[in-house]
Amino acid sequence: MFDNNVLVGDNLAKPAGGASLAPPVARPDSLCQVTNLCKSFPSAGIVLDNVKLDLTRHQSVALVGANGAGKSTLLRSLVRLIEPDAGDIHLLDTPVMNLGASKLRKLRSRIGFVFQKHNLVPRLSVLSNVIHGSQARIQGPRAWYQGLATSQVRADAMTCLERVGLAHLASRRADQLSGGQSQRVAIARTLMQRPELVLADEPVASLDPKAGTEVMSLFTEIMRQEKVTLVFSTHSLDHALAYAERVVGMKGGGIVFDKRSRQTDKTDIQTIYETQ
Amino acid sequence: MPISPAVSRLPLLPDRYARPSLPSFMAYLVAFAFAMVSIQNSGLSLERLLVGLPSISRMLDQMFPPDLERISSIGWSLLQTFQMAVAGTVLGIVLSLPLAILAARNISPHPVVYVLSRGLISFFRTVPDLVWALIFVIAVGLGPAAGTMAITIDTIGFCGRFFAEAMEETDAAPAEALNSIGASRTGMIFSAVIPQAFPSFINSSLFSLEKATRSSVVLGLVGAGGIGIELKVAMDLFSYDVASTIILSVFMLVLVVENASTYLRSKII
Ligand SMILES: Nc1ncnc2c1ncn2[C@@H]1O[C@H](COP(=O)(O)OP(=O)(O)O)[C@@H](O)[C@H]1O
Ligand SMILES: [Mg+2]
Repeated sequence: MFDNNVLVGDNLAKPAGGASLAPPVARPDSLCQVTNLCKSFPSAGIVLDNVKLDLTRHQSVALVGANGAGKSTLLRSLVRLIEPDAGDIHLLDTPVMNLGASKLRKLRSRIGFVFQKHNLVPRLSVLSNVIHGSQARIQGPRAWYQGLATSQVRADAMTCLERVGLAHLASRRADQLSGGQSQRVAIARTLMQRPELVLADEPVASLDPKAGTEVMSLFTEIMRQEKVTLVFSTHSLDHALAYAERVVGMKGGGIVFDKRSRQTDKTDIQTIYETQ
Repeated sequence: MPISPAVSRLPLLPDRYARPSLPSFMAYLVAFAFAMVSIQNSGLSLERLLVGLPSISRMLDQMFPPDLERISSIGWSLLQTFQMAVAGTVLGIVLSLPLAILAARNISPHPVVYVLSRGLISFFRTVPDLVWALIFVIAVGLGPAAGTMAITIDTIGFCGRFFAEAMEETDAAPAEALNSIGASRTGMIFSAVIPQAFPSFINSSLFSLEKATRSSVVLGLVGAGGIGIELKVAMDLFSYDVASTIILSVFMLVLVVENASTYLRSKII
């Protein structure tokens, strides 16, 4: 059988040595396999340094690391919001690196993404913003504004809002929400998307500690109920230990430890925060 | 410890005026000289103004009282003028939006498309509306169709540019959030970019309606429909009292449109 990489051709950046002849064999519970992932920016130098990472279905993962460790770059690279320089990524049984634009969109539609902030379109209503989650599967104006959406979609969106406790704010404008409310709306939008995996890049880093804890518990609880795997980055060890089953430590663009959260301790944390 | 001004040394103050470099000094000098020569060459002189004063006063004298006898026919052609402005602006806005999407750097499908559509918009904008009117009079004949087309093109030149710039200035993060979940380009544009640029769209559209109202009056002078032609005829026939009625009613129309537009702007944005 032909290797998929060979068939599609090599127009995208590949490892310099062409090291990834055969993609790793997918295990049945495998969600994501990353090998030799590299990325550097002219201004910042090497940001991802040969990252290797396996994610398993139904195992929530926290990516911890100091500012600049490469967490965001890694998460974004997984769905090629940032184009990696080299390496191989298999996500949901799909080789990501060689996907053309429309296949990549299809794959992205199966993966939720919550950013640290500015997730929402400021001048639109909360309900419209939640309905945007359905753009992963619905084309056209019906997924653009709540006023144009079908009754079914509007009702679904209200259910999602209810799950995050914000049904009463459905018609409020998104730019009139508090930080915690905005992130909860972003979670509702992710629910609306019905993803198989959710990536979250420091989803509560711009909230105060109390709101941060509230949003994280809500987020992880909902993802657990939905049986969706959550991978989030954080610089808070407390959040990592409390909300993830597995903790992956990053430093200087590489992974420095990868453990069950029960087995993670102070010395691990020191390794990621101490200066080189 | 109190700070004593006598003892403490002030940090170095910047100069009040920066000394221009020699090339920029020369450039100022050339610009100034050119402005002076231009005024000189315009043939303006106090003498000629003084000589002209009696004829201006004679004209003003004949303008008042304005001749209200033809007010209803003037009213109708003023309405036609305003309708030209409205039709041209609406068509222009509708055509501007797709062109602006192609001409906005952040959402344009291709750099070549971006450059071409920017170029087209600049071309529409830099050719004066009166020239467009002359061209369309030749193409479709005298009458409001030519004026409406001229205003449409002028509006595309104006709104196309400002719509595109408004979309370029939107926050990219919400669009990226949609991109990250596999939304289509069109979906991103209509649900993340345009809603953010919307207040600016309204603002530019209202400005372009004001602009179109003023220019629709002038376009009549070249026969492109509207009240301009009647003003010209009245002036040519020395019926200054009719002319003053026309000028005053144009003044009223522009005033109403500008105030309505200011009001709407404050209401919507
Ligand atoms: N688009 C970019 N252009 C240039 N440098 C970048 C870009 N994105 C990230 N970096 C650099 O990469 C490094 C890692 O950044 P990031 O992945 O955001 O770290 P983290 O999310 O762990 O704080 C930082 O030094 C940052 O300055
Ligand atoms: Mg980050």
